[in-house]
Amino acid sequence: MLSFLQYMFVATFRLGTPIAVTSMGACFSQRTGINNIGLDAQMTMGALLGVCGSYWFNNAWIGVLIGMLAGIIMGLIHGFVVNTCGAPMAVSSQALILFSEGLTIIILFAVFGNIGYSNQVASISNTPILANIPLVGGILSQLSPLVYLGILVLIALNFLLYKSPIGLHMQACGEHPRAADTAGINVTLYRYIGVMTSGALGGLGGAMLSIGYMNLFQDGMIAGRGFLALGAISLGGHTLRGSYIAGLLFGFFDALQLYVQTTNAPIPSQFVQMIPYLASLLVIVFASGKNSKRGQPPAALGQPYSKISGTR
Amino acid sequence: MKNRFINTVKLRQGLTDTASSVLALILAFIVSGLLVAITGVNPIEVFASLFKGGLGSGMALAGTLNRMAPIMLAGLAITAGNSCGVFNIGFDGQFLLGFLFAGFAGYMLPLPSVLLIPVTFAAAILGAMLWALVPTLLNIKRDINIIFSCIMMNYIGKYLVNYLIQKFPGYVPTSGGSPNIREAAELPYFIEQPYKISLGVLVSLLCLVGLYVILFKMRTGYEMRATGLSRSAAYSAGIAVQKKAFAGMMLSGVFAGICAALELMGTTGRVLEDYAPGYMGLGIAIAMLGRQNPVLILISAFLFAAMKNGTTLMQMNTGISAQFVLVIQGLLIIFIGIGPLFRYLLNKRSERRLRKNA
Repeated sequence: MLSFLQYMFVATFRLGTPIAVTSMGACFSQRTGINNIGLDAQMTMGALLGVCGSYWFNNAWIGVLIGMLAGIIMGLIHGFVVNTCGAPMAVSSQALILFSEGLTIIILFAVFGNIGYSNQVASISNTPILANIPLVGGILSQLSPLVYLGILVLIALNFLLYKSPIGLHMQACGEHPRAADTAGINVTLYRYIGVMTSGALGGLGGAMLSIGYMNLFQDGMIAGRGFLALGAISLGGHTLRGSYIAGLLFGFFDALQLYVQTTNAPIPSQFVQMIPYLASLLVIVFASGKNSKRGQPPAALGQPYSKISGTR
Repeated sequence: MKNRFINTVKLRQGLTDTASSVLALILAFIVSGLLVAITGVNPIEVFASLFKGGLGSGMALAGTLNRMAPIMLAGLAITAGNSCGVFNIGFDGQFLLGFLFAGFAGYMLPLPSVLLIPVTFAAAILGAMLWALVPTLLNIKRDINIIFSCIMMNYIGKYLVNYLIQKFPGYVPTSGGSPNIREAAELPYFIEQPYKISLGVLVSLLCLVGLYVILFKMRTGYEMRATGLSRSAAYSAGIAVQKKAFAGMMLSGVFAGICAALELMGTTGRVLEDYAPGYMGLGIAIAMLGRQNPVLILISAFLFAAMKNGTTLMQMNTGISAQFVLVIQGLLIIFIGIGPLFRYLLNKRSERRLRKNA
């Protein structure tokens, strides 16, 4: 029983943090008014470039930084196409997903000479420093330092968005960009910061999977986790904390699913694999309703605001 | 006089739209060519074999046309949803359920071809609509975000279909799918000579016309488009917006079902496990490029089908993976998305020139 709890704890954070971090970033971007659906693209690029960086410099931390940089570039393109040029968000997101799927093959071939997977590279999958803490050290040291980094980022962004004047300005850009502009707030700048933060965190989420959990990149390893992160935002009621916790909840169900698969329970494996999705859907069905006090997305979500698109 | 004015404005608008689309196409090929050059492969060779494989011969052209049928249906499914303001991201799940239902009907029912093919279509439509109905009802009854529930239904559908394939009578384990459908359920060719063109092409064109008629020639379609343009304005005008959004989602499901039936009866011949042809991505792209215009939808569906059809020859000649076309497609959509920038820069230049002259 104890070992089961221990497994569930470690696996929940391992599998859930990549989704949680990505989801938190996308929620941050939503608060400034830019909807980022193509999270899969940012996670894929983050995971791949993270492995490449780790391979080039033989240092996993530099890999994480390069992965985040790749995510930022994807976010920047999305912000430019959606906000500045006023294209529908689904278009840009889908384009980036297609683009990153194809680019993956080219980069893998150019860097590693393979098509389906990369070489094994330096990774950071556990935190030995924490092993000296009595009682819980053994468990905590099994988690990647990136898991703790994710929690620190959550605290920092939460403070920035809800407790600082900058955060209020950012929220104003998502609620009513014209009013924010009239009040002298630089809507374009804040929206770019929002979508680039989302890109960086999507890249971090991807890098967590490739070098924080495994030590290589496989084609298709993101497997729709970006969409799960998107779902986590609405499950978490459109707040940073909520989307983070919802992301971890996906991790919990995923861990449970992997556990059930090892127990030879008389349930067909396809139904076991269905657990994370079915459970999340049921959670939201029971948690919401016409009278529930769930958070709402910002009023101007997905509405472009720039001179070029003629919306300013 | 007034009429002529409108026509010139429309013409200019159409010309700039076409010009920016062509520019986007050129830019997409240049950038993806640069990317492929990095890997040490000659990009001109890549594009030449892609073109040859997709459009280069009569047989390639026929293959492209046959591939176009399901791709265009995917585009119509997304277009139908978008017209009413609902983004059907649940296409993949609906497609798979339609695929399964069609496979079951095509395998089980001992009917002659004339009856079996329509029945298989109907089964696919039923399956897809069923899967589109769940998120829609959850949205109406419990106010659940439709994007979220659609994404969850995609995954649930994928695993459910994988499970149900094993329940087919006569299922062979590790065959990767269900047994083949009856010969009577396979789509016949509607032209045999000189190249084989499947009946699916005709079906897809009929669906294109059908969607056009619904959206632009019927009252319901007008109300649907009004809902898509501005929900609040449509509501104020007395349109039952929730019903229209519901109708849009169902219509999208119908097209997803037809798409699945075409794929099953025209291409795969059986229900495959973990089948992911990537039609949703292409459908979204086509819907965005097509902008509810049937001619543009047809052109973009043809273009994407040609690219998909050309990959085999490209892979054979140059060793570049088939996934490379995704780079071209993604870049193409991005460059079309930033079209307003080109227009903005052009306008700014002409403004400056006007000021100089004055």
